[in-house]
Amino acid sequence: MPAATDPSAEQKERLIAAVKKEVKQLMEEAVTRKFVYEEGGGVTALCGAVEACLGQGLRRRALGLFKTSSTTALLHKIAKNCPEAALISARVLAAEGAPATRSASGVERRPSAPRPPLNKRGSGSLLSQPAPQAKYLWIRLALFERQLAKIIEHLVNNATKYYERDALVADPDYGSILSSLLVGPCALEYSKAKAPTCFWTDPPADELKDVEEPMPGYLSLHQTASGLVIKWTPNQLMNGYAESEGVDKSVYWAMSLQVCVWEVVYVHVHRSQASDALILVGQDGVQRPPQVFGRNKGRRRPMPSLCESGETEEHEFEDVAAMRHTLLERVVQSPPRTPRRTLASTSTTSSDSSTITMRRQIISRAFYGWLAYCRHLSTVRTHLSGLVNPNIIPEDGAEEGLTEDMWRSLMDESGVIKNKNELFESTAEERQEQDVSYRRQYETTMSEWLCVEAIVRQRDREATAASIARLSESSGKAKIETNDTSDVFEDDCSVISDNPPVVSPEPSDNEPTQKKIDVKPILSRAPSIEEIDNMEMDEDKVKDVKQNGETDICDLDLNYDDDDGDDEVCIKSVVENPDLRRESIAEIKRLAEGIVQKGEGRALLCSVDSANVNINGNSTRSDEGQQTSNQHNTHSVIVTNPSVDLAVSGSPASGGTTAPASPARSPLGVVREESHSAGASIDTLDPESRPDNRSNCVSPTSSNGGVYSNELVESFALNLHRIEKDVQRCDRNYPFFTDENLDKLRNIMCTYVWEHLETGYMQGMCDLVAPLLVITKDEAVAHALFTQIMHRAKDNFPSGQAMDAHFADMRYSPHGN
Amino acid sequence: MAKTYDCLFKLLLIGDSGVGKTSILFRFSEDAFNISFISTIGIDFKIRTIDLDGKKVKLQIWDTAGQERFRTITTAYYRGSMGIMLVYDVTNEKSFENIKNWIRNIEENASADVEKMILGNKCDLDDKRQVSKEKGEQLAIEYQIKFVETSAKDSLNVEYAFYTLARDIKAKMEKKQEASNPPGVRGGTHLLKATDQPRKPTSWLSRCSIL
Repeated sequence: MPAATDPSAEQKERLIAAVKKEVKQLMEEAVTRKFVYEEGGGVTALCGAVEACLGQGLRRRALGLFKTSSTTALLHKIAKNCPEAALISARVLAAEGAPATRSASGVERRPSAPRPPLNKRGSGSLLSQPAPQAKYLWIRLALFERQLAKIIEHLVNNATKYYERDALVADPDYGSILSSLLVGPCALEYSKAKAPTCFWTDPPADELKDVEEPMPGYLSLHQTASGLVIKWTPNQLMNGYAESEGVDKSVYWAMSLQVCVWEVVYVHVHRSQASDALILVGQDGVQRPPQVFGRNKGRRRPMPSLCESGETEEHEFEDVAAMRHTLLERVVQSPPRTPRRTLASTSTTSSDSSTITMRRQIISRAFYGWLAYCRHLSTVRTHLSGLVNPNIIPEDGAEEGLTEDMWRSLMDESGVIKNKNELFESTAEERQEQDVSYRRQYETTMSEWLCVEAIVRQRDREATAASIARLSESSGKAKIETNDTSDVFEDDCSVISDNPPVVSPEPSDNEPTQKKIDVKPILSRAPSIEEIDNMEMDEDKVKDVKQNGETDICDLDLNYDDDDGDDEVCIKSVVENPDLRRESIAEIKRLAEGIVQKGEGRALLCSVDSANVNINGNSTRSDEGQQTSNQHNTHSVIVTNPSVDLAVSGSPASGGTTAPASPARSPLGVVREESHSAGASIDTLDPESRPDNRSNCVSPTSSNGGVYSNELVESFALNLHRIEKDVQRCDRNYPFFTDENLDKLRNIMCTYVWEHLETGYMQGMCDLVAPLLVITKDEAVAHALFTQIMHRAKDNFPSGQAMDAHFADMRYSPHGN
Repeated sequence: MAKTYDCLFKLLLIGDSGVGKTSILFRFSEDAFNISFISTIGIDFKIRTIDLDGKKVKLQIWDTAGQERFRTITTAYYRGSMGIMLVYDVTNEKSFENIKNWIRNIEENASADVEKMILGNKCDLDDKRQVSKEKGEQLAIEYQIKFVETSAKDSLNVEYAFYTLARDIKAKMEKKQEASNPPGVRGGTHLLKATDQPRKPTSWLSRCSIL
């Protein structure tokens, strides 16, 4: 009896091949995901294939097994002889006992499916599963309990009792292969936990054979709670299919198709001469096995576990609606899949109308989703535009910005401009007047804060001086004391002149008379800033100072008297002649410096008229200088060089204190230069430059005549230091910002801050002023513009509330739902 | 359905991925060779009936996936097999070194009396050879396992390997049966028939499928 010629051999071959294929797919799923989802399509397909094998050639009549659940009955029957079967039999009975009324549930999973005749699932579902897992219940349970191979082995060994002679189970070849094949699946890990996706990631095994014949089938769309499901079921599985009895259904089950549309993100359609392939990409980015459609034959690859039944899952990708639509059209229109045979005619027509309805629903849903999204976008846009400018200019070419042409055309349109002069709603004269008044105001303001700045500097200097003096004292060298004081004074000067780096070592060398040489060693031992601070309040010094104070005062007085007149003239000229502004500012600086040199800072009093008072206040300071001045009256200013030495010598103390004074491009550049040149011949320079400074100081003070509170000075000092730091950082690479222009920048900043001391300086203001200055090249104008800008931009600085609002907007815009 | 053979042997092919297990089996069952490399998923099988000393012996040959990821699954198939072929690739030293691991694997999972054989496949690729024949022989001696170098591509020694393994299994079985059956029964050739005749195939099957 040659098996090859046996007509049933082919069928057995096919049955076994189906089992093998399912086994492989299950294994693949298992190794890819470490376990197999119990209710996945792979398990169902395998169970179906096994069921088909077991049902084939079963001696139903002889065994008293009837149509339904015959293999289950068989299981119960062999339970007497086979312990494994007994175990499973008990489990099946228990499972069926609980929710026994689920006969129709199978419809949901594969709705078009008739009950395979051999299924025992008719009577119940697996435990409490809502999903209809009753199908192949006992095979399922046996598989999960890892008893299936043994039960089948028992059947194979006793095949003659239960099976016809030509049954697969009774076949000497296939029987053992069937049981052996199932050893692997029985060794797998099964889990009820559904993995993120129940799709296997690898394409199906190459060896798996296709069904070559055209497959008629039933295409249906199902609206479930979670979304739309597209199903395609071979006709063989339909109710009332003629040959339904005794045919291996597993093949067809494997062919049935189920696509959960909401899980699909992309649909790729690959067309080629021979066939079209449809590839679905899930949310997880994993490609599903391609669905191959033969051009004419309607051949397709099985995709058994493409998608699970409509278990509810939450899906976040909402904007694939359009894609789904595409998919749907694709699926629906794909000609090869729609059945061509007459057998399927009913199903095609019935699906058409429902398809149209579905499509309409999908499209409308997609549209409303899109609409909602657009609404959201417009909200975001509103918020974003609030960040920039509340007025949106919709004109063409708006992206170019406000060009001159644009500006003109806008003005023309609005009718504002009748002639060029009307551009500013004012006449040129008026504007000029305005400019002049701005300048006047600016200069006035500037003179105000320059006074305070001088005080600030003086204080800084005093702090340094005192600390250095302290240091020298603490060093215990009495002899050096005199030197110390001179050093201190020198240091002060350096602060004023603000040019430590400029200091040339030569002058110091050239002026041995000034005891700088002595000073150096002391300075090199420079104290830390803290030490300096501690030393400030040294009382011993004060005593010494007092003795010498008087002479110094005299000097100062003289200077005042001499220069007062000149100074006033200067200021007047400034106001009258804009061109001289720059000079006048320099003058003001000088004046301020004069105050500083008098040591006004201590007293915090700066009244011009009472020059004596100032001097008194200064006494402590000037006294220190006086010790040296005893020898050289004018020394104080000239001593710059030694002070420079201090800085150069690298004493941290002096360096630290002078740092905020912006050494490189000091605002007092003029003075610096003078003092520089002075280096060699002190005597000649003093009467010219230094005295000027001192005398000048009278006029600003007199004009302001104010007395500044300690708080005011301190807060301005704080801002001043901030400004100087920031100014230095500003656009250093841009050629415009030379030292001179940075001074301008600083002046603008200081002026603004002086006017808005309650706001104070905040980082970034400088960067707003810088471009204005570049464009206007005029301090006063830039200041005026900046003041206007700040009316609006103020809130964007930390003290304002706008920052928080902006951040809130920003947070809102990227997320949005 | 009546049996078409006298006895059924279940053989197993194991070895690293890509050594040529499937090709060997393909050569043996179909007498063909396919250069393309298709990695086996989990398990596969082929059947071929051979004539062994006048007996029709059906070989049920199980081909396993060599990939590590399938390891736990494939070991489940060891237990039912009566003969195991350990395959390595002579152009791949690593696969040769892994033979020891495979043998350990057999010791842990297969029946104790399983027949084994080592195949050094791809011996046609002499220019790429990394494992000398001597080395293979040495290993075989060490484990007292038969060894042969094969080439599925050139159809070299493939038949020989399967026949040898089948013969060894048969010999071992006959020996066993002689021991368990009362003496005086007919010789080895008739041994199978000597046992209960109608059920013989199933009895064999049952033995095969102790899983």
